[in-house]
Amino acid sequence: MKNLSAEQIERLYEFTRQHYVEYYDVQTELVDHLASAIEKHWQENPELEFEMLLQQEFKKFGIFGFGDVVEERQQAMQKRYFKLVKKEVFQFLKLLKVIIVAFLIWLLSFLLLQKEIGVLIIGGIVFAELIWMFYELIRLQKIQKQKKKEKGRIYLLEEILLKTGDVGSLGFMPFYWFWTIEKSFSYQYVAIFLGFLITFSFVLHYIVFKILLAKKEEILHSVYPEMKLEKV
Amino acid sequence: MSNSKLYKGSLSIIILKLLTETHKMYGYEITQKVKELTQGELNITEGALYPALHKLEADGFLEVEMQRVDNRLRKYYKLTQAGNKEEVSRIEELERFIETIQGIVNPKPSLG
Repeated sequence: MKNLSAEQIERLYEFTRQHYVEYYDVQTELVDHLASAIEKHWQENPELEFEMLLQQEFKKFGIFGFGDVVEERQQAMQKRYFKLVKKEVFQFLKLLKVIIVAFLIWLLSFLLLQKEIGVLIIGGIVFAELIWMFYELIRLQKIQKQKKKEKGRIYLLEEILLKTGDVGSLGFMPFYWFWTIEKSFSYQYVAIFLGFLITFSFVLHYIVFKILLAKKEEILHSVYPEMKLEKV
Repeated sequence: MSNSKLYKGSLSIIILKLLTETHKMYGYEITQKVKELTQGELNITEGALYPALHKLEADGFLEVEMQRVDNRLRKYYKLTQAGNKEEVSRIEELERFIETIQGIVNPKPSLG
């Protein structure tokens, strides 16, 4: 079988450049296309002239030549580029969360070291969170009861989600820690440790009470495919 | 087929379908395969094929693999996992569409 020579391949690259294809990736694909087409003709008639076949194949791209191909390729690459940007933005936001958590730990430890006023502020925040959590637990229990009553059934994972995996019952922990080691706040390492624990429990409560419950339906549908078949 | 508008929208479905049947293909191969299958009825122009391929690639439905063939580089297209799913749903969509059109163009006589 007659194949294209290295010079002819180079001529094809030059041809794409002459027809306003600036980018190597697009050139390469078009060169392979043209080369394959020319070789196909040679299979049937090896005597046909290279340049003539090239013009013939180029005509098949229509009146805009390679224009459409280049234009669409630019749009496609632009799309990929913005996908990359989006990915990096999300990555950055993850980092932002870490920064917020670190800042919270620092802030809490710092306040704890400020003696009376700091301790009062932290104590107030911890107490307020405790009250909020009790309110949320009661609200979720109501939803759970209502659901059982209305539909007469509840899925196991749904119940666990609504009971916040019993994490809620540990809600008093920050308050308890706060109470028991109050006298040791002046020690820096105790303040940092407590700042860390309180921040961690705040994050945990936020996840079980807010984030997971907001995604409840989505989670249940992926765990229980049978939900789609359920009669409403 | 003279009305190219009719099949222009189906081009991506044809590409996805061909790639589920053949593991990987390159651009020229796809044009030839379509010509062979449709016996020249659908003449996919090169000017339409590559844009469709690039669009599918950017949407994450196709991935590419480069191979050196003779003295040049060849770009092969393969379906990604998302591409496989997309193929199934687009074929279903197309089948429903054909059914609807058939119902309009060629209504079945009702038994009632």
